[in-house]
Amino acid sequence: MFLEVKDLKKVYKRQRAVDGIDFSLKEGEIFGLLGPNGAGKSTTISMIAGLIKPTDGDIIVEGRSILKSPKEIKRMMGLVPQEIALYPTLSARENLKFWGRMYGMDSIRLKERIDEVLRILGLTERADHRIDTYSGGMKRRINIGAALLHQPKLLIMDEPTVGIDPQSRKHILDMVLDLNRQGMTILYTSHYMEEVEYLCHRVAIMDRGSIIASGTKEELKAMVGNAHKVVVEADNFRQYMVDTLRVLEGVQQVMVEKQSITILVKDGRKRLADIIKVFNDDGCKVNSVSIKEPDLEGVFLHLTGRALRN
Amino acid sequence: MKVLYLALKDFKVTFKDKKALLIMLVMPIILILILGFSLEPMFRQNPRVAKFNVGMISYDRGILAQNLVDIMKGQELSELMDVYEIKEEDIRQLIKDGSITAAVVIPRYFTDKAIKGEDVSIRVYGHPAKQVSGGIVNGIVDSYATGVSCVAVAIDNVIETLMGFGMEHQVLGSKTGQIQDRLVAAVEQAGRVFTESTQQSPRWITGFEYYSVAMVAMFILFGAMFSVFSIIEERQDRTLARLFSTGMGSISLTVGKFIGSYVTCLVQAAILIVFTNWVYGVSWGPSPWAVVIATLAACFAASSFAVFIASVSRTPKSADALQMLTIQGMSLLGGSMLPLYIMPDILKSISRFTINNWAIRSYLSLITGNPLRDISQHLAILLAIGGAFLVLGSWVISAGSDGR
Repeated sequence: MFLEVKDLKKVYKRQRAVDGIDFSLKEGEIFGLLGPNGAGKSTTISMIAGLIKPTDGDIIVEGRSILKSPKEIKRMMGLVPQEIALYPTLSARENLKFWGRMYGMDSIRLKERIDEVLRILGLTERADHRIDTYSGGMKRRINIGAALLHQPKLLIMDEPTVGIDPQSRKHILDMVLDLNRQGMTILYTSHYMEEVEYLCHRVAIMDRGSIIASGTKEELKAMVGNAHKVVVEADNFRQYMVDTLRVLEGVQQVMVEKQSITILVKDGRKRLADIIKVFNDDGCKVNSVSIKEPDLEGVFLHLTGRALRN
Repeated sequence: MKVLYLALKDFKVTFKDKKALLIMLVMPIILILILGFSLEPMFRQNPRVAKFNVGMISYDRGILAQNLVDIMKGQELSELMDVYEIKEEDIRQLIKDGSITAAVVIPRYFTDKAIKGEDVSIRVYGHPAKQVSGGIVNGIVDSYATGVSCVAVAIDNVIETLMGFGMEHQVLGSKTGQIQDRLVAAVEQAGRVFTESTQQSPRWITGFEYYSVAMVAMFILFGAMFSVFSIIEERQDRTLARLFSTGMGSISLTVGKFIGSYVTCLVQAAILIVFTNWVYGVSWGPSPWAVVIATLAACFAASSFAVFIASVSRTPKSADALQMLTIQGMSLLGGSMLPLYIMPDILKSISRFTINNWAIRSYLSLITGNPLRDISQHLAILLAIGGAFLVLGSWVISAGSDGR
C-alpha cells in the first residue's frame, strides 16, 4: 500500500473529531473521502499532511510513519487546502515562485515548473497579474498549482472546488484526472457526491468522525440494492406524513428538507403510485416528482437518514 | 534559505500593501509636520537660530576695533551669521527690508579711548521683531566691550598701585607701550575665549528634529508589527498551514518572520530619516554611520517586540488591540508624543522601560553632535530588550505549535 491510515484518532477536549478510522491508498489511484461538513474529513487530511498530531494511531507512507519522519514524508506530498491559501497582493508567478522555494526547489527547475504548471492551469497569460484580480475559479486553479510545482507523489486535495462556477469546476476535475493518468496518487475530499463519483476509484464515506462505508463506487451502491431516490416537491407537507411514508412497502429512508421530501425506496418506479397517493390523501399539492438511480448520496441517506449536503 | 525567502516574501507583501504604507510612511511624515510646527514654541527656550546677516560699520582703525570686526567675521561665528560692511545711512532701510537683522557701529577713537579707560560705547541696532538674533549680536558686542573694560580697568589699577609703591613716573612711562600691548593681547585672548565658548555651547533641538526622531521611534514599531502580524493573517488564511505542510518548522517560521520584519523596519526608518533630512532639513548628526548603528539597534528591539506581541495574539482583532495599546502606551511614556524632558520624574523613570525612550535618546544624542560611544549604553539596552522579547516570543510560538 502507498498510504495506510491506522486507527487514527483526534480528540479536542471532549470532542472526538476523528474516531479511530482505517483506510489505505494504492499507488496511482484517486481515493475519495466523502462526507457532510463536520464529518472529520479536513481533520483527517490535516493529520495526513502532518499539520496536526493525531491523538492516537499512525499514518504510514511508503512504509514510513509520518510521526517518525515528518519532513521526508512532507516532501513527497502536495497539499491543496480548502481555502485559497495564496498571497492576494502578489502575482500568480510570485506566489508559485514562493511556494516552489518553500518546497526547496532550485531556481532553474522552479522556473521551468512554473511555466509548465501555468500552462497546465491555463493561466500563462495572466501569470503576472495580482491574485486579488483573479476570479474565484482562477484562484482555485493557482491554489492547486502551488501544490503541483515539486511534482509530489501524493496530492491531497481538500474540497478544491468549493464556491466556483461549473466551467472552472470542470477544468479542475479534468486536470485532476490528467494528473492521475500521469501517475500521481490523489486523496480527494468533497461533500459533492458527483465529483467523488466522477473522479474516484475508491471512496470512504465519513460521518461524525467515523468511516461508515468504504469501497468502490459499485460496491457502495450495491449496499442500497436496487433502491431509487424519489424526490417529491410538495406544498403543505406535514411531519406526521413521514411515518405514513415509512410504513409503505420498500421504503428505506425518508428525509424532509423544506418543501423537498426525499424517499429512498426499493423498486421506486413500482412504488411511485403509492407514494403520490399518501400526498394526495393528506391534501398536499405535489409540484414535481423525480426518480433517480442509486448514487452515493443515496448510500449516505441509506446509512444515516440524512442528506450529504447539510 | 527558506527563512530568507519567507522574509523576502513578507517584505514584498508589506510594501505592496497601501494601508501599511500609509501608516508606516505617510502618517509619520504628516505627524512630524504637524507636531514639529505646532509644538515648536516648547523647544524655543533654547532655540537654535537660523543664520542671519549683520551690518558692520567701523570708524576706528585701531587694534581693538579691528579685533571686534575679526571676531564677528571669524570662522567660529560663520555658521551663525554673515557680516557685511555697510554705510551708516543705510542701516534703517536694510533693517526695515530684512537684509540685515542687526547693525554694529564702532565709533571713532574706540581703541584709544578704551585703552585710556575713557567712556566709549559700541552701538547696536536691531529689528524689533527679531529679538533672538539681535540679542545674540548684542551679547557678542557686550561681552567684548566688557572684556575690554575689565582689562583696561585692571591695568589702570596696576599702574596706580605701582605708583603708590613709589615707582618713578619716567620708569613707568617707558613701560606704558608694553602695558598697552599686553592690554591688546588680553582683549584678544578674551575674544578667543568668548568665541570658543560660543562654539561649544550645547546644540539645541528644534521641534522638527525632536518629532522626526520621536515619530521614527514610534512608527518603526508599527512597521515591525505589519510584517510579523502576517503570522496571524496567515493562520486565518491557511497559508500558515500550507507553509507547515512544506516541512517548515515553527522556529524557521519565527526566524523568517523576524528577518522580514527587521528588513521592513530598517527600510522604513531609512526612508523616514532621508525624507526628513531632505525635505524638512532635519540634521541627524555629524556621523551617518552612528545613525545607521542606532537604527539597527532600534529596529532590532522593535521587530523582537513585534514577534512577542504576535506570539501572544490569537486573532487579528486581539493583535490589533494589543498592538495599539502597547505602541501608544510606549509612545506616550517613551517620549514620542511629548518631549521626555517635560515629563514628571515618575514618568521619566517608567519611560526607561520603553523602546521609544532609548531610541529617542540615542538619536537626540547623535543629533546634538555626541559621538557613538556616548550612546553605547542606550544601544546595549535596546539590544537587551530586543533579545529578551525575541527569546520569549519564539518560546511562546514554539510551545503553541502542534505537530509541526
